[in-house]
Amino acid sequence: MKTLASLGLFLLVLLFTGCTSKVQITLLPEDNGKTGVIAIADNKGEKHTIDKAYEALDISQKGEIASKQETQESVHTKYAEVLNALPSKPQSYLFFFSFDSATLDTKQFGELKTIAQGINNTGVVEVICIGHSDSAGDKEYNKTLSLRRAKAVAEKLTTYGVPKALIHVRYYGDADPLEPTTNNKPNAKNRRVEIILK
Amino acid sequence: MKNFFAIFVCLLSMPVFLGAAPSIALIKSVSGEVSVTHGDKTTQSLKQGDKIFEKDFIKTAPNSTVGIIFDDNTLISIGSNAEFLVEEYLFEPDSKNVKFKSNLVKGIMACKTGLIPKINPDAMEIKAKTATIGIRGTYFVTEVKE
Repeated sequence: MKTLASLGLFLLVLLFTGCTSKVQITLLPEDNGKTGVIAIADNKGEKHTIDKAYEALDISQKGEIASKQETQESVHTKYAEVLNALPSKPQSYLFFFSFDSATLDTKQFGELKTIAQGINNTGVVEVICIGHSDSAGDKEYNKTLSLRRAKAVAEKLTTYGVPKALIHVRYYGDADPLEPTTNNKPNAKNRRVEIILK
Repeated sequence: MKNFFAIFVCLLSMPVFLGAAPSIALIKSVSGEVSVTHGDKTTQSLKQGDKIFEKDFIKTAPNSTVGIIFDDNTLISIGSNAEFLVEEYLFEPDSKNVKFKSNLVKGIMACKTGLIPKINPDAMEIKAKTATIGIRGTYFVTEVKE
């Protein structure tokens, strides 16, 4: 009988704790120390917002919301598994070209070789090569030129051992300049290929 | 004749190919056992480099995690014993058409937001039980207890 009673109490406690908090959302600071904003409306339609590092909102099953302050230690202990599994931001590299040229120089070959080795050693799952041109000359010609640039980079990466299946080539002509210019302006910064590693 | 047949097959398969929904994310890392059930109810286990599509339902076993990179550079990791559904995902930055609605059915997820909330601060939402959480960015953890 005694055991039954304690079992009843145990169940009651379980039910009770089950009701207190069903969802917790916690804000973390970014690498640069900045923190974003998260908002939730509770069951009465009242909006709750958090915007400070390690601030958290608890949402009960009934939709009641309470804020609380976690610490760096508590968050990194409690959530170590997911925090360690979070992918790092895709990296980006730029390769610049001479006027009306899609030819890479020897120094750039060396840099591409280093990037290719990095790709093969660090579990990169996608390589995107995006070709760009400046706005000097014919738009259609520039599109083709930007494609030739992207292909030149992609082919060099393949030569250095990056599997073709990983590489995706895109080209935007003069449509996405790094430095916006008036039409028909040669611009060294816009004659480029961006490599994005995911 | 053989060539004709090849062209015929090519033409037949083309509309299917063009009609296929584009992928929206890539699996960056898998530890343990992680599976996905697509919108058409087919299920497969996930490995590094696999693609994720809208309506995908991702499930992790005990001691298993998965790391995902979405097209807009949203980074998401999902912990053990979790269930996560990508309800809606739209990333068309040129026309500023963006949307990211997901549902954390159970378990823990970490997220660093990408371009979507920068383009439209009201475009990203995560459902967790009865709550709908509006995400303006940028780095957070959501836990759904059973």
